[in-house]
Amino acid sequence: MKNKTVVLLASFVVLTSFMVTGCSSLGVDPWDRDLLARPAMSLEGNPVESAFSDKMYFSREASSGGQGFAGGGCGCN
Amino acid sequence: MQLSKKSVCSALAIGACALLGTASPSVAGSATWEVDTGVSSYIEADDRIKVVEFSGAAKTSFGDDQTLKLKITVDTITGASPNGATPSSRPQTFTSPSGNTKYDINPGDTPLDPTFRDSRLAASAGWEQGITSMLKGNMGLFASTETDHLSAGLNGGLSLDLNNRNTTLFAGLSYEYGKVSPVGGTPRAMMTTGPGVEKTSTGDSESLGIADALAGITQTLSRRLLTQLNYSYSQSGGYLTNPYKVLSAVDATTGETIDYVFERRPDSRTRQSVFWRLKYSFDQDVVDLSYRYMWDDWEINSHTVTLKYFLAAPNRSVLEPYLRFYTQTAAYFHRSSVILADDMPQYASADTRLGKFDAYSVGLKYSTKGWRSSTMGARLEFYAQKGEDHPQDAIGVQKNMDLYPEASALVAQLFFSF
Repeated sequence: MKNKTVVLLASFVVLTSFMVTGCSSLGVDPWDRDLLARPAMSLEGNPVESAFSDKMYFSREASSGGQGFAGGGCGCN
Repeated sequence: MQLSKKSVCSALAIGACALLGTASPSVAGSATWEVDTGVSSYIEADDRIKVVEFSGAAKTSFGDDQTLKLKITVDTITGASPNGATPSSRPQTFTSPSGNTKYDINPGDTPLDPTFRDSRLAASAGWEQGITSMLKGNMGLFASTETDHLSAGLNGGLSLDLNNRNTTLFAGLSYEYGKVSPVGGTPRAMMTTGPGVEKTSTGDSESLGIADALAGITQTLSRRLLTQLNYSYSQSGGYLTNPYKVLSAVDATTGETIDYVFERRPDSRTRQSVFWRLKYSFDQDVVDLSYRYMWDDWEINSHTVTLKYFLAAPNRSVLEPYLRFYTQTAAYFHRSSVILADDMPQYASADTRLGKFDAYSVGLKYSTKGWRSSTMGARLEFYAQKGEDHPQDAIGVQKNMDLYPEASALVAQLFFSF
């Protein structure tokens, strides 16, 4: 369990470092953000729809969070 | 007295700022609000749980570097929920958690508690503040109350833009306190109750705490492609047991139910997860793919894959097909029942949500632009969950019973944003 955690954490750190340093040449100029600026490309989405889905899966499954905090917020699980 | 939308929003903003301890911005100016509302109906098959949920979220910005977010949710839950006992070849009688009602279960049927009902009110407020042109801070408060559960918490985080805003690093912390006041009191766990599940109460309320840490990165890879990678760590402590779930105490040879015990779970849990997401924009359409791997010290591992497609339709409308696959392993203390002759294990739960199962979701959303900048949407989702009908720990007559009947639910939702 601990070994797996260490391996996954190390992978996360390496990937993050790679994305920050190695990928600094990636990306676009501000005037090329036309497609990225569309609502459908937002990573946040509709907060009400996300809350409905998170609550439903949280109350039926043993996992939660990932994109946001795992938390709890209700006694449904 | 009539209150305009602007004056109500201004009062809300000032109240939220006071709550968050931030300076109240000047709201008499031109701040505009983005409001998302929705209603959701969740209905499980076989007359099980029904949930009706209303939610509203509002967001406004003050200048370029201050954003206020508010959200409120109200829901009601009714219906029948599995109480954890296994089907039996004989009729079974249970006492409801309040002790006021008894319900009978026919031979071979999954014991469902039909007295389950609750309502919940939850609210949250968040404030985002620019610190420098590249660094932002955020903080939030949230609270939730229902008949037997009260929770409140706070969170905060920082995000840093790098590489011409093509890279964003973020990290945050959250703490939540929960108070559980089980209907009929906290049951004495892992001790036989006698037929009928007469509860012996050991107290009126219990508490728990959940501390979360989240760190991640988002990276724009090209004009069409962006990705996100998160790692989260969550530590829960306190009363993590479900006070309404029991296990059948069965004969070691025949598997016949003789008695019952209330479940008990460990009083701490450490969860970790890695979440990866990829979004790709075609000229009109967008594809959104995500994967989450979660693991914890209860030996539950889960994989979640979600695929969503934004299909541009005529008249400024969007169709969003949705697919989700979820699979999890069982908690190490999950079991179908306990054997009466044995010493009782320290921890045991027959809650299907801690068992091994797969779940599938298929959904479709239609949304269209309405008057001015409003958006209306309707969404349907079908959810199905399938576990081990005949697990390895089944004994005697249990081998002929369906110990994990397939569960399914239909979700219908309406949205309106303006």
